[in-house]
Amino acid sequence: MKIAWWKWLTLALMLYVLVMGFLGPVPRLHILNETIRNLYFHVPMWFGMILLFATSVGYSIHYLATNRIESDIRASAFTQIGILFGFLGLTTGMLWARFTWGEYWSNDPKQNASAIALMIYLALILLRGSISGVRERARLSAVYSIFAFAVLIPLIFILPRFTDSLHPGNGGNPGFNPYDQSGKLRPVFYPAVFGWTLMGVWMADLLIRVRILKNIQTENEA
Amino acid sequence: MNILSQIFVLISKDFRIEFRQRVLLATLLLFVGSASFSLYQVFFAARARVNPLIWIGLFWVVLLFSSFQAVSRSFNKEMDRLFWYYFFRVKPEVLIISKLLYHFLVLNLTAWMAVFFLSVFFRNPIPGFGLFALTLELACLGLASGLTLVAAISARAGKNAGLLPVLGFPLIIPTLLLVIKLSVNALDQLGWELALPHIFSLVALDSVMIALSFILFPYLWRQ
Repeated sequence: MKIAWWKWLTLALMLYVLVMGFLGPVPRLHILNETIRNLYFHVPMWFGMILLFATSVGYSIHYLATNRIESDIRASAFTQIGILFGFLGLTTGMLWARFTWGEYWSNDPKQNASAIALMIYLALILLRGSISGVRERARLSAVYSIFAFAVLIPLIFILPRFTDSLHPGNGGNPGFNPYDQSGKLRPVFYPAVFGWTLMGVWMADLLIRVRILKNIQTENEA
Repeated sequence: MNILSQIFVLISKDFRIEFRQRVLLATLLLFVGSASFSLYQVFFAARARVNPLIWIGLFWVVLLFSSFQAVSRSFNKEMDRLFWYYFFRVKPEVLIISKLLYHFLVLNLTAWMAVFFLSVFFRNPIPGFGLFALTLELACLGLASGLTLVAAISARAGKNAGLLPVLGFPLIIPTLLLVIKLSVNALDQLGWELALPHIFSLVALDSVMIALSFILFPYLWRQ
């Protein structure tokens, strides 16, 4: 089996994160208890999602600049995997919230922002689905995606600062650091962020390769 | 013709068409009027009085849903065959600016219509009217800058009328969150100082959206 080197790296990181995430030592914390292990799964989903969406926007800009249909295929694949990461992030977050904050949904600004982010990208999928011309679809969705991403940035990074949040680092809450005074979380957390992001890129890569091949096939048939 | 007079001509064209057909005016009157009327019936049946906070809530709901009506049809003509004539005559940047301004004015009409109807049915409970009026203008600006490009996209995408709310709603939520906070500020008469950060971030958000509409619209325009 011959696969690219970074895929071996992804496999190694994922194995490490899964084993150390579930079995490794974690600090004893009030309320959080063992749920702190969710840090290795919930938080990397958001890092991954933002990165995947940013990549998607990059390809959208590239499409508008060059009109290469491959860029559109790449942008849409990164969007789809980004949505998957978003849903996983939301689900893991809601489960975590149930056991620490008491409710699945507490109208936390970050919860709302992530729900809105997913709405925006589901709307993008809907837009893609409602246009039949390939070029038209590529252009309109590129324009919408760039516009939406620019609105998303203040929603996620700026607006939550105005309001109180249950999340660490907002509304007078301490940041992430106090949870990790013993330094047990970091050695797993950073590889987890890196590994999950690579995992997302790998998934998008598979989608892209299949679609580019299909595209070539339909061009040859036509 | 220089750019300013081009923009003026395009806006006055939109208003002249509207004045002759009166489609938008009728739509808005029906939409805002019937919404306010049915809300009034609900509160009348319950023999409940509307407190100021509920008034604000009703107002934003009425404005939000009417605003989609207000901008939904405006690009249809541009996407028609007239489009081919425009294509040679008008720069896309000029067209998008004229549409932004047109939407801003139309949304103003919608917003003040909503204020009027709700004030008729429920009286007007807003004490800090200066701040409320400013909030209203900022809301119209935000809705116009958020929905104009999306209206163009959905007009381009075809006859699907349901597309605009789906594409537009998530994009105007940040604006909506900020103006709702501002209007509650106006209600509580908390003064301008507390309102300023929200006003600044609204203006910043609007500038980003307007700048992007300006940059991206030529790509929609290009065939």
